Amino acid sequence: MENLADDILVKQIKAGNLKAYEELIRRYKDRAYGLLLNMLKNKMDAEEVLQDAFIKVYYHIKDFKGKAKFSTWFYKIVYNTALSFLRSKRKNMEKITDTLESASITITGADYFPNMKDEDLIRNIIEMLPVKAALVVNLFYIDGLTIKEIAEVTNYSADNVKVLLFRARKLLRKIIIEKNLLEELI
Amino acid sequence: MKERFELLINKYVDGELTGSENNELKELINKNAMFAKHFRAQIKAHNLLGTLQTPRAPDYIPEAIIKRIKRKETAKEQRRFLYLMGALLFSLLAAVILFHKTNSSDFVFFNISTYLNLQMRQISQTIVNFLRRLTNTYFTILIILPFLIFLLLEELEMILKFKGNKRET
Repeated sequence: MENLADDILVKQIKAGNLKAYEELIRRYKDRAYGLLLNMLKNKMDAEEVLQDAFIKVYYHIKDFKGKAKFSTWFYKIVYNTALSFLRSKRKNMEKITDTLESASITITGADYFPNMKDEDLIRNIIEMLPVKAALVVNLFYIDGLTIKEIAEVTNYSADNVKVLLFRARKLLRKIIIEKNLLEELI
Repeated sequence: MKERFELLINKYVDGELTGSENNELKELINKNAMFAKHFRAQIKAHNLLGTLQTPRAPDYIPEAIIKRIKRKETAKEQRRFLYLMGALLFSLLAAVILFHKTNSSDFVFFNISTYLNLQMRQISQTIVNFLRRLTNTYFTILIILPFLIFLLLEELEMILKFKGNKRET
């Protein structure tokens, strides 16, 4: 089961094979969790939405026609579930519409990351990014999606995704310099 | 110049720089210490981003999802069971009415309750007569009976499923 391609797993799930579905969860849970952590900035929320998203996948897998890659379709469900969750939490509404510029202003202070490993350091910096930017960075760098695939998942245009990635990189750079992290990272 | 630098640095990161743009970027970095610092920061950030690993979701997640799905499925089956029960009872009632061959004055089913007033009886009688006119015995045998058998089999299957699920949980 572990070596089966996504398409075959999907076919088996459509046929009612629960073992195939379990394998699909094992295959995608970490990636989806990473994405949700970046979007929701909270472990408990991420775990709850992760479960909801997988349940949606189970009940809507018949709608997947195989025109796009399964991963793209899956990320779209995860993304939309997270958005619904954020919308339902009114206090988080601001985060959705947050502009990248305004978020960068809120980052102050110089000693956030004492004795931290590079990976944790960069992860912390990503967590500081606004929702949209963190999402695009996560999908592009960690999940390895192309600009076109990210556009499909998020319903943004490809140009919009490029702009978001451009701004996110700029912001990451700015944070690194502002916090004097350049030497730490080298 | 700053905007140009931003554009070039992004193109560099994406590997989209042309030869002349590459020279242009080199020149900007050599001339301006701030650009050089930003360039170094960008490269480091980009490299680190590329090596990032996905965080691990808690181990209980797959089991929790499967449990939630099984619960949902059970609830769905229970709803279906109740629906089928209702349909079965309705069909039985319809069959009793349609098979019952008595004249209107001593129609047993509705005369059981002698306490019902005459008006109620008349309404019931009208419905029964209408149904009788609409259908006939052959129709009843051909449609109602197979339907009844189908419902009975469905119920049986549901009961067996319930027993199976109970044993699993």
